[in-house]
Amino acid sequence: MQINFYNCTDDKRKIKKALTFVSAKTCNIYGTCSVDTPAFIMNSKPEGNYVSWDSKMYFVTGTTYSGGKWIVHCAIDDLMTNQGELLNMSVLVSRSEEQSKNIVDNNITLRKNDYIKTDSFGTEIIGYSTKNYVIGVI
Amino acid sequence: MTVNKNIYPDVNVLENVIFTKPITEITDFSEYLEKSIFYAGCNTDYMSFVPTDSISRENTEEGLKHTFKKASPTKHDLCMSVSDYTGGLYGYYGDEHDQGWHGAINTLINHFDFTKCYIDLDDLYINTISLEHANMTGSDAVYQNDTHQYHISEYLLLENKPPIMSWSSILVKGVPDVNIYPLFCYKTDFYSAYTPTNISYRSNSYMYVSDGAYGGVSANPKYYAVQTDWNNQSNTSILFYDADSQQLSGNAVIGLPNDCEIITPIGQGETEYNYFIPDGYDYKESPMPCLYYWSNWQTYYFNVYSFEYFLKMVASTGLRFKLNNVMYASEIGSDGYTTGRYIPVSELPNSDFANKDWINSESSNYDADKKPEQDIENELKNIGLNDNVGNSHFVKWYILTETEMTALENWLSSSNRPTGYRPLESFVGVSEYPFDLVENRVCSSFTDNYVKIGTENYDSPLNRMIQIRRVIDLGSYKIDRYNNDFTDYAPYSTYKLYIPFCGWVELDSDICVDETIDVKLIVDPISTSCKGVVLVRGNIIAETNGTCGNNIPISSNNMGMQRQALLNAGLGIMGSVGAVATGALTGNTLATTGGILGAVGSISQALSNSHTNYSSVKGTTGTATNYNTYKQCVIQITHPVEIIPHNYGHTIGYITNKTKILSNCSGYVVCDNVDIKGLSCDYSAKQRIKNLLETGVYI
Repeated sequence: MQINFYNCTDDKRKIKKALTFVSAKTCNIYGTCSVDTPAFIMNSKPEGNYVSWDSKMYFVTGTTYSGGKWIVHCAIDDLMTNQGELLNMSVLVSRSEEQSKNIVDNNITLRKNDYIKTDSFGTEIIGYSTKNYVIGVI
Repeated sequence: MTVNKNIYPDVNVLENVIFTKPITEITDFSEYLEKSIFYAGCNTDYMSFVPTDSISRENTEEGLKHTFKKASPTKHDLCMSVSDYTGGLYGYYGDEHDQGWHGAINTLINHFDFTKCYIDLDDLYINTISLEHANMTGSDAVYQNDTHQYHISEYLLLENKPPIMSWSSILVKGVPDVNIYPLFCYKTDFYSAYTPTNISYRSNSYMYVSDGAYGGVSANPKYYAVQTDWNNQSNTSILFYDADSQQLSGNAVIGLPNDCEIITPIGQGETEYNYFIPDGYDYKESPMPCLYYWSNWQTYYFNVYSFEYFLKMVASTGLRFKLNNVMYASEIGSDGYTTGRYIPVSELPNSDFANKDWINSESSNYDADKKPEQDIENELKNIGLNDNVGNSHFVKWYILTETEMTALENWLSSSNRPTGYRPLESFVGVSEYPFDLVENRVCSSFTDNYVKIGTENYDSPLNRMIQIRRVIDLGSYKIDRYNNDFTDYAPYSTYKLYIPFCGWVELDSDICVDETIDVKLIVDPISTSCKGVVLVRGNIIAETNGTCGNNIPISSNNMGMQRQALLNAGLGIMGSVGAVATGALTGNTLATTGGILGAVGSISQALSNSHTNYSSVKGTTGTATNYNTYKQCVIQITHPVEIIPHNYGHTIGYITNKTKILSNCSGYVVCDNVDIKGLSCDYSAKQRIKNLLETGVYI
């Protein structure tokens, strides 16, 4: 069987990770293992920190060398593996990088009334120094 | 048409106009022409512009005046003329005159009901300059003697219309029996209000800059340019509009309209004037006229117009005009300003002109000189703000200056009065205001030459109050967002507004943030009470009461009896003022009138019920605490400052609370209570994904 090795610098929590292909290696499954945490044994030294196998995406969690063989331990990347379905999911987004205009966010620290603006505007009362008297006469 | 000096600016004058038919149905005014009232400045058929030909170019202002006087031999005739002298028209009315297009229009509207006039361009003569010379720039751009005069009928047939230097023989025809426009609507960049010397102001998106001319009143407050210090500018391109030979003085802040041409100044100081020549100017493309420097005159500059510009200028008067036997309607925009756009009257009903459906004097919300308080005045008319209290036949209210008041006091105390004369019996109230009531448009007045106080005729004329408007526009203010989030609202931010005479009022941030507030002052010049009103989009959002004047006693003697009289009278007045105010605010004219009459009745009763020597105290001593109040609105806004760590949105995330498809999100996303339906992976994977989404993922 063959697995592909990649380099990935993205955060583990990123759904759409950017991968750089490194090499394809011939290998076998090492021992009995879960599909979520497989180990692969191969003759040559593996390169890269990310693996794709059988349409699933894995983080490389460790590499061991024994008896002239290289064993690569992996853990499934649920986000990348299920990316297509995930991105179509409708979710309630409680927080995001998009700043809301009007929703109160109690996590933000405020310095009270630190900005005070005073503007005068509009029409001045004309003839302000001119007194007028109004008299009513019957 | 009756020449009525009181017409302007009181819109109510038109209330009794009888309209023969809706304006939209009037496309042919010929049937009315027989009744036109001025003709060529010489008789009473038409108002007229004198042809430029009749004016000697060697004549300057004095010469022009002389020419006009000859053309207008009758004092009450009015004549306007076009010349290229400092670029414009002169309006003459008797000995009064004013310069420039706006000045000429101003002269007209001060004396004539322009709502019944239209401009007839079909006898127009146009003086043109060659295209070659119009496109010259820099020092080559000298005036050339290649002007040609066309009759409008000839000019319209020209395929390439040469630029216009000047025009003549514009007729403004009066149509007395029908209102062509229900109200005055002339406030444009062409017809602008005067500005005092050395005061620049912003209005209608433009900055009007004083040119320091005319000893305190500028005839040409119409310079526009980028914000710069005029005197210190060097190579900065300055937009210049419709300049003339006036000299700017002092540092001028100059505004720049978006659609103006940039023109390079080429000199300053060669003469005592600033002057400009267009750089790469294309008179056809420019929405604005450019200037020419005529070497023969050196200090005079000439506008060169495209024909379209000329029509725009005509349309900017707000009048209808007839061209090539087609009647055009000028547009008055939704903000009440003319726009310069025009359209054949027959197409008017299908247009987007704000004035398309105006059929009578109630059709417009706008005041004669376009002060915005008329909008609210119209909206508030149901609460009685147009009550004509001052016109009561029972009580006459006069507005006196300090000098007039002193003269009245002297007259009252004069020993020349007949024995037994008790003038103060006639007074029902005296109050004092720290500002000019008429100037501030609280009310208007006319000179009453026959003031009678008691049984005696007062020997000086006084200004009698009429048409109390009560609504003063104090201005507008756009409340911008600051943090652009929830902290722009209460309780985090506060918005307080100071209204002259009324004090501070708190504004509801939910309503006023990101909106423009309009502030009005409703004044009752009889009771001295006032009310500050704050509006957003025409809706009242806050109001506060105040006092803008001070009730004063006229004199005092025999204090014991007076106090009793004062007490009784005061109680009566207080009740009546309340009734007046209530009447004003409920639209109950009868209540208002009754209130005043009630006040009179109370005084009379109080006085007649007390003693014989009662007549020397009237009114009450009021508070004068508002006399030194600040004379402009002030807004005070406090905002908190947010302390947001760097990358807050990328690491913590801003509150969002929206349902979204994940692919429509970007960056950091935290979800609430994710429903993992739709995932085909095994349940342990689903749980892991749910946990990840609820603790935060990046898309």
